[in-house]
Amino acid sequence: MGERSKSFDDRLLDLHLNRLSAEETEQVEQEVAGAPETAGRSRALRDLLKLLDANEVQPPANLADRILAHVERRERAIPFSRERERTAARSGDRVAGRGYSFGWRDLAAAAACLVLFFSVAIPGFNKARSVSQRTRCLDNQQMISSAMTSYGQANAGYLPYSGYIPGASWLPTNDPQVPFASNTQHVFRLIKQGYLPNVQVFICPADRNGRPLTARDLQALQDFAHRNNNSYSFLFMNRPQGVRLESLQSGPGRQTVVIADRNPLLPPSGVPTTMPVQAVSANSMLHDRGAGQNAIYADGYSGFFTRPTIGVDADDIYRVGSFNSYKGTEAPLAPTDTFLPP
Amino acid sequence: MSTPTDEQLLAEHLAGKPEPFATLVHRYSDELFRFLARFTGNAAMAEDLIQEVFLQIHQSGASFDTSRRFKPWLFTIAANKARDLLRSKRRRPEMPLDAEVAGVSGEGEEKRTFLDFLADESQSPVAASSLEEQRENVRRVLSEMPERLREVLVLSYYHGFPYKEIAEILGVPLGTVKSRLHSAIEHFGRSYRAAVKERV
Repeated sequence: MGERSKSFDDRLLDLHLNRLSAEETEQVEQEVAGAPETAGRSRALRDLLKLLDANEVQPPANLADRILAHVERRERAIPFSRERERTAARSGDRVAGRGYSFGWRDLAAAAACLVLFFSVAIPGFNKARSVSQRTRCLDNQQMISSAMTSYGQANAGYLPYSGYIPGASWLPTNDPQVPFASNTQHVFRLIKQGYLPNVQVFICPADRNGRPLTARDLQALQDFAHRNNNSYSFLFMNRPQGVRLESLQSGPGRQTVVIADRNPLLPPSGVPTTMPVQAVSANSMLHDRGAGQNAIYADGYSGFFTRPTIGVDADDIYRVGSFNSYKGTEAPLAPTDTFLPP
Repeated sequence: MSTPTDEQLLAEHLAGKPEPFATLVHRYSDELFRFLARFTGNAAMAEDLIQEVFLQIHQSGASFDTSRRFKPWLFTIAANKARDLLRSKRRRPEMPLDAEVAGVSGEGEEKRTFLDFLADESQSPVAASSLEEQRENVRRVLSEMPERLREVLVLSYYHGFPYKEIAEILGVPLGTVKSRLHSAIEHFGRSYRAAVKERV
């Protein structure tokens, strides 16, 4: 079918659909009359379209009234919807399709829902996070504990030991007459000698100020450069001969706490500028501002304890005896006096 | 006093007056019913649909674009609802035993159901007149015509919408409307002849 005839078909159809102007109608009718074939096609189309008239549809009686009754019935069931539309229309808002326009009541309801949600969810989330941090913190301690055992087995049964300095202070001191003997320098050997995979294990996930040493620092150092490089406290080691594994594997030694979360003796801000340090029985500050501490015993028992009096005979693991004032040179008073210096 | 336009009536309805909406319903209920009945081939379905269409107009009148004409918008909503319903029926072909047979019964006729067919498989005992046969054939052919062709034919032939407004109602280009109308007429002619041959 060519373009001309196609165009004529369009016009012929429009003729029978009464879509042409009077002038166009006259023109098409002349064309139809002038060609018998076209006239036949026109008649066929007219007859075909006439058939469609047979499809009469009679609307039911009172249709409009029934529609209005239906709308009224449904609107009564959902009055808010009507009010919402009306309000939107009056205020000039446009409600797109089934769209929804927020009012102050909706915002207030949404805000209340959010407050309720966060008041329920946030405490739950915080608690779950705390539990997770404690668990990972204890995992780190267990890795260090295993490394200490391995070190002892490879070093004549002695725990990591960097030597003994008589009269030294485990607290940094300004007194030139009192040497400083860090209690963490001993376990630092575990890193230097490759018993631990990295320095990150010395950082408890709950320690907000924890900052692991860099690999470059590690090569040059013999101890942690800053207290923030290590979150834990270890069994007091400034002894003339170190500590033998054997002494911790039988008798009361089995109940010795070897590692625990950082001793709270030092204030969070760092090294005290004045001596002595006042101390009271307190938990480590790593978990939820003093909720308790993880600890590992020599026999492998471990857990999270809500009090620091978990040594032999309910000894406070963070204090020497029951001293309330420290210069830094204090040492355990007896084999059963567990002390884990800062 | 001049007759208010559809758009003016809708604006008054949105302003909170009850009468303009009733006027719109009275103005368009018969025409819209005819469209829906021809489009769906089912008078009962058309009546259900028309109630839902006007309910939506009543509830969502504020969403009407005042730069457009009301009538094409009304038919757009009706066509969309009819299409949705027809598709949902196709997805769920099972029908209740007393369901009306689509495309067979119409207004003024005795409603035929599956129960009637189960009772009498010989179809209607009443001998159909030639005009009645013609009417039934047309309805059957239209109801079996593809939806996209049927809607163009109904809007164009029975309701006389301009091509441009049909394009607007159906959301298709103008050229598509024209080509579908040609296809619809061709389809109707071919199917009607086939339907007549079947009965001879």
